[in-house]
Amino acid sequence: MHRHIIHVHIPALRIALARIFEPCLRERPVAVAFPESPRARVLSISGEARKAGVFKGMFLQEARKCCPGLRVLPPDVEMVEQASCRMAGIAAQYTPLWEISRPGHIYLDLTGTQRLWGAVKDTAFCIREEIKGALSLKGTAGVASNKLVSHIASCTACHEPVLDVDFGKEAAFLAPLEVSRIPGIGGVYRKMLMEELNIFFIGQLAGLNMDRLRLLFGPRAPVIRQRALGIDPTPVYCPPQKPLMSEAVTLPGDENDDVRLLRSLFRLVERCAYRMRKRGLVPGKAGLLVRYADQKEMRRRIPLSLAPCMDLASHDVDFGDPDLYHPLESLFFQMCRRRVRVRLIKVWFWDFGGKQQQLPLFHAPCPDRDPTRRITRALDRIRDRYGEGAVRYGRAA
Amino acid sequence: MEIKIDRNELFKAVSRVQSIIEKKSNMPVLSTILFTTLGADEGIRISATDLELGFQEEVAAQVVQEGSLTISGRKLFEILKESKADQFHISEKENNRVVVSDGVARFDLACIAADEFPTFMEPEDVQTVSIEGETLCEMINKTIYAVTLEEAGFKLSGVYTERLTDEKGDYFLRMVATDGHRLSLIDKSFPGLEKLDLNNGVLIPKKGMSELNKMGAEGGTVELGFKEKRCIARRDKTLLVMRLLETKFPDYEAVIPKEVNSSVQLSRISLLEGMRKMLILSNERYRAVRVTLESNLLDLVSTNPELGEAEEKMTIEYDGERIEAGFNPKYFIDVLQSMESELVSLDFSDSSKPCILRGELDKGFTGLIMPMRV
Repeated sequence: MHRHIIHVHIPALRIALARIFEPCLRERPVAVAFPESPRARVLSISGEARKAGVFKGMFLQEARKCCPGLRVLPPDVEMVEQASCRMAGIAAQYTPLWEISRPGHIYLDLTGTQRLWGAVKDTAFCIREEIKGALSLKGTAGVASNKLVSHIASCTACHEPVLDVDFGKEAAFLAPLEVSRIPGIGGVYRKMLMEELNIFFIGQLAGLNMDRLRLLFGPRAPVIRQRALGIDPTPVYCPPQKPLMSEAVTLPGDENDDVRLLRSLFRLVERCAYRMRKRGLVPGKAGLLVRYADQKEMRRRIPLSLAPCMDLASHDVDFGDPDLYHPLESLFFQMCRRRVRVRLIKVWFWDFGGKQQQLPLFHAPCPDRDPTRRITRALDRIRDRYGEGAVRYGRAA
Repeated sequence: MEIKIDRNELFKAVSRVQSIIEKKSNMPVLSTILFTTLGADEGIRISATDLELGFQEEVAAQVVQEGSLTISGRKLFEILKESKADQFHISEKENNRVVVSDGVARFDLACIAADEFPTFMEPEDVQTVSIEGETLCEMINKTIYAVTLEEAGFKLSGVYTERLTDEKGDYFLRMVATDGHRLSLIDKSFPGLEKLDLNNGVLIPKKGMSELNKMGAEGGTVELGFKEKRCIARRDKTLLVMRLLETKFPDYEAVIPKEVNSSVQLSRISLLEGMRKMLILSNERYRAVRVTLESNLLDLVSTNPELGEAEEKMTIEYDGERIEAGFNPKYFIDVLQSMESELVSLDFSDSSKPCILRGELDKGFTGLIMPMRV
């Protein structure tokens, strides 16, 4: 049975999302780049900007010269992530095999679902419409027997919402397309093929025998040939389902005062720690993300070496807020070294191992003797009764 | 010093002390073996120590010139292992050099002066008791697996040994080991225990117990005695002196459940094989096996979200209330491997109390395993 893969593509997702909130951006050349950095490169562009001569990877200064009316947007990872999650939610209704390869690109493996959902092309149309209805994002969809061809089909489908490539006609579909559409043929190979060897189309490349391809691409020749013929055995990789506990805060104003930043960090850790204790989870790893005012991000992860004690009577996992905070405080000072104000802090914990716990034979040097843990438990009881915000830590000089 | 010695005799003695000599130590002399002559026709004495444990063995040899010397234990072992000669010639040279020769090869080794070797402290007038090597091995093998070298709240890196009396007033020797999660206990009685200077319990280090086990495994009887925070074991021409640990052993009797709610008997081998199968799917993070007892059925389930699930059902005679508890299968395997009975009994109180393992042929033995929260 041959596979049925759908690729849904939302071109320039960040720009598409911005246009929902700012309709004045529609039909105007827009680019995404770090606007405050003098050496910033363009990360994404709208169709209007492309027509004006702007391309991805171009220096922002050059792009502005090239297109004086260019509106530059800063990257907004949070908004793009939220939109991707919504898209994933829609995809998950149709198949458990879905993969977000990058923002705005989602693959769905609908092999063997025709009896349930009907023709795959119709399902692709439904998914596209559902995304359009839920997120007001217009996209295109490609249907083929593999990821490569479905991806190229969705990016090629400019005039129709869904492009279906029949099984066995992949090579014929790719043949008239430019060689640069094949993944792995970047600027250098494109120049060599088009300018030196007069190979413009994928069909021409597919017609070359393996010896000649080896001369051009070396050990990658078999893969390039497979791709030129529209063969791609890559499976749709399902997203790993790992439980995560996270908290993030966007500061009321951009901040560079360490005391205030650490206060925000502590509150995030405190909230996560309380919830993890309630669920009996002991994290094995922690992560910290700091986003600066110029939208640059720093992201680090560390292993935690918590030695949780367990209250035999209540079966509660027992670790204090400082147990989690101190490693993250050290991490914060390691990574937050730029002299730029901070806009957002996010902490997350994962790799939970607290569910299986060996009970001790002797009730020995245990929790009640540790005053910090006793206080933590007392504070948790207050939080249980009056809510998470009922307890605030303070620091004495 | 100069001696001629049979290669096999020497190899046996040197192999025996490999586990005692220190491989990495701040005191280089601890990695050596001391050779001391006993007299012209009496052979030599081989000594090794790590300061906590001392070992001596008398070996027959032809003494050409009396004296004492040290040789690197590891190097001498390797030399003997590679040589096929029947006899070795060892002689001391000037400037702390020793020549070891088998007639074909000759090794000129650097050595440390014999007077730097730590003094072997053997207490005098020690009251000893004779124990059959087999009995001693049984006691050690049924407890030593529960000894941990890690600190589990208490420092329990030894086997607790004490002399107790039963209801009739007869003495018996008890060995107990625990790592804080499981406990193994064995009682054995034999004549002469009243002579032992063992009014309070003592903690014998794990390394010492391993050496004692080797001594017992050689057969015959072992003379065992305690004095001045030392344990002495003697068998034929070998002597083992162990320094006892001074840590306080926890009140183990308090954790042995006095009452049990449910008890079940089943085949030891079947349970052992079942636990071994469950162990296949367990790893560092997901190691618990869920044991369920219900209407003549024992159900073992091991779940590892990263790998999958394993289940085995065993038919047993049980019509009590349903019991469900999680256990580390490794602990069960250790206990069951050390037991000999065909049928073992599992006693349960509740899911937060230890499971007790006993067997008819394993007289005096009790194994305790604490459950896991699953």
